[in-house]
Amino acid sequence: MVFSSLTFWFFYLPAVLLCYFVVPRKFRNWVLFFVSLAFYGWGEPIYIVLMLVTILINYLAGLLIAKFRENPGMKCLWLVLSVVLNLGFLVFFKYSGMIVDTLNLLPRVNIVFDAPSLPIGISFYTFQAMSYTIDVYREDTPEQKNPMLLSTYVTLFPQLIAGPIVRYRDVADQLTGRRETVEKFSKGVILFLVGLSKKILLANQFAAMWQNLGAENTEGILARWGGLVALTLQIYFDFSGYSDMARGLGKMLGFEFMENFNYPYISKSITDFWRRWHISLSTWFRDYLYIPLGGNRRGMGRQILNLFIVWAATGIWHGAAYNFLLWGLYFFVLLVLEKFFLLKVLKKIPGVFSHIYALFFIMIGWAIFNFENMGELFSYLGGLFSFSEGLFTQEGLSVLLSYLPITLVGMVLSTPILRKFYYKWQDKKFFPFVICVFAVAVMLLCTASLVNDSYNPFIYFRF
Amino acid sequence: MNSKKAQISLVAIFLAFTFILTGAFFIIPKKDYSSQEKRYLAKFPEISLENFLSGKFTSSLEGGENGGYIPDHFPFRSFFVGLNSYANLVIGSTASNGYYYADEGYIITKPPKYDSAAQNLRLINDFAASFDEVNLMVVPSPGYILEDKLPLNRTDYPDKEVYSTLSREKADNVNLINLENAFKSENEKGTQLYYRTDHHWTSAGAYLGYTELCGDMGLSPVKADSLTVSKYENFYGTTYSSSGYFLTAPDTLEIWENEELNRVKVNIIEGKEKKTFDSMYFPAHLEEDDMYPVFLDGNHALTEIENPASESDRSLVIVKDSYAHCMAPFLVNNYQKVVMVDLRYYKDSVSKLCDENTDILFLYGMNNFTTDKNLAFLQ
Repeated sequence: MVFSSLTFWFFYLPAVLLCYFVVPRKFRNWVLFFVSLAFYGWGEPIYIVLMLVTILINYLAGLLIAKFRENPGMKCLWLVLSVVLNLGFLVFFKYSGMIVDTLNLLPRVNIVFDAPSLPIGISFYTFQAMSYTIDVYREDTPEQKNPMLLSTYVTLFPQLIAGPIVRYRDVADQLTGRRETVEKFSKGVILFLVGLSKKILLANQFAAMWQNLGAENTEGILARWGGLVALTLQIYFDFSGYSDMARGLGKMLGFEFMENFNYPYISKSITDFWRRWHISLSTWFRDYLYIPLGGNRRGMGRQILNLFIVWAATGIWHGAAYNFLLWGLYFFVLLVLEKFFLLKVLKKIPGVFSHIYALFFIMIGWAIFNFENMGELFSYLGGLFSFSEGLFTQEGLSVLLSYLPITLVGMVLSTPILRKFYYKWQDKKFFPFVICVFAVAVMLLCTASLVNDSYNPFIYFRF
Repeated sequence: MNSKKAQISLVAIFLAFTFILTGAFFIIPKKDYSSQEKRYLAKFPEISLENFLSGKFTSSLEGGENGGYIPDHFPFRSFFVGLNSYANLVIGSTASNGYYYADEGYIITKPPKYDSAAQNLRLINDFAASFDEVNLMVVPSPGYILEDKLPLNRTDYPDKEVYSTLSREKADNVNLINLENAFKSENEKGTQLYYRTDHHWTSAGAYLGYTELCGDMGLSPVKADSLTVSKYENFYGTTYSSSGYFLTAPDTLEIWENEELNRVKVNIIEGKEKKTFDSMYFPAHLEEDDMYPVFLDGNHALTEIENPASESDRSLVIVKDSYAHCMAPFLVNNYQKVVMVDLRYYKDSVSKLCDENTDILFLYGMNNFTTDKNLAFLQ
């Protein structure tokens, strides 16, 4: 089940809100645990078992690590065991198909293997669960003795399948001490509706535009750049919309989750971009991979190696295909270049140039991210720099024109301009009215779009 | 949003919107059939352990492209579909769900994406090799003839290209009836050749096609003034229902009937099942939103129209799409038997239906002719 569906909005959510607010506070975590399991099991009920096993492993590891606090060997053993099991599940369910395919490329290797279907959200909840065990090991947080509370943390439906990757220590107190208030709920409504409209009213439009311009390989240099702009906007509004909905739902239930996106497309360098894009993931990799590897404290050679490892991992985390690895390493190269000299240059030149520089490489990055097939990727990239196909085809022009207004809206909304107005006007008398009108308009339009998706008249009906 | 009152009103609005629609879903009685979409709506999935464990239960509730229980029965469905279409118009999309919102209340299908015209012509050429002559008529796209009514931002229709391909690559014994010029000049005179709310041609359009065909084949067409015209208002056809432009005014459907043809017998044959009727018109469909099936009851695999009073001893086989349905009644004046074959549903031999007394006509609308793959079944 995804948030941007009629099922979630009009059936699951009302049921959750009713159950959650009707029961006394001390049972609310139980409610959350069960509704989250239902949410997770909606598509493939069988994978609930996998998630429960993951929780059990980390629960036991947390207890054992805490028990052997004075015995470094044993403490380390339990940590390693849990990390191996966590990553083992992730590798088996997400990467085994890719690994087998790669091995089969070797001469005389011919493994017949039916790759399992990918359990939804496994990359997210595995990282969340690991953050708990590692934090207990580092004594950044006490172990959780109550298995239900740990389960509630791992399964929490708002961020279960697409983040943000909330670290245990950031929500440990909220698990028991949160307060649901009207103020939080109203902020939650705003965030949820902002996220919903980002996904339905913007991302879906850009997806259609990209489908028309990019995926079907419309020729012409302008059409290709238009397609890439569409893809760039689609990925941002899709992903950040999902994060906003997650944070909004969290707030309705009394939780505060970290911000996951901070207007990444206003970045003036790639370094800046990765501080603004999917922040919870970059933070995770920094805290649980880069710094344990030694970070930048062991000399320049080691630092470059560490960066290489982190960015290869970041790349492949996004999907079991080599283009994601390439995408990660592409950023590794750019970030290393920036670290050693480019950042100094970027700081000196006028802001508009560093902004263009950053956007250019971000957009090329999305092309790499998108095409699993290297041939298609290079053919698309080639078309971006060649006038031999002309500017656009007639079909391409028509698509560009149709989507021009929404593209401009998308560009403006990827900057903090609305947020500025929000803070400027929030104490004005008319402001609540504006927000309520916005809410009604957005709810009507989003519902309309969701309903239209299922509307499928049959023209050639036979009586 | 620091005032408590504002926060409460926002929360109230959100919860009211959500719970009202949820409530309406449960309260409003469910329909089995959607006449607007012309399909049966999804039924509540069967409750069984197996369905639960496989995820089938939830997927049939949620549905995908084939409609699920929840989206199919969502309250105020037409309102939301319409809202979506008009909202798209406002933000600059000229074609919602694949239909242009054109001037004078016309809703016009966008040009098709895939061009199988050349392939279809080859199939017809091959088929024609075993006959003296076959006739081919491809009715121009509504958007091609009504170009001046289309929005500025649009793509071109393939008609011009297709017609030149057809005349260049057709076999010698394929007689091409080109309606392009006749339609353009008749349209300039102000005759309505296509329906505003449907993808078909009007009876006026079909009659024009018929007279052109007669001229080409040496038949004498039945005179227009000997036909009785009956008009039926409130015609909401396919382009209306698919586009979601639900504020568009309905069109008026016209039947041009030769009342002297009163001994006609119609056999509708689907596989082994054969039903016989004594009229080419099926007025029950005039009660529905989409009235076009009033002509010969819509699409069927095989439709035979017998005219025992005819002076002609010849018969006509039409390999067709639904454009033929409102032209066939005119052709019945010139033949003792007209047989319509729809290759989308009829997979048997067409040659079998023909003998030395048979004329053969391929009659398609441009859209189907350039996208349909079923001519491959032609034998």
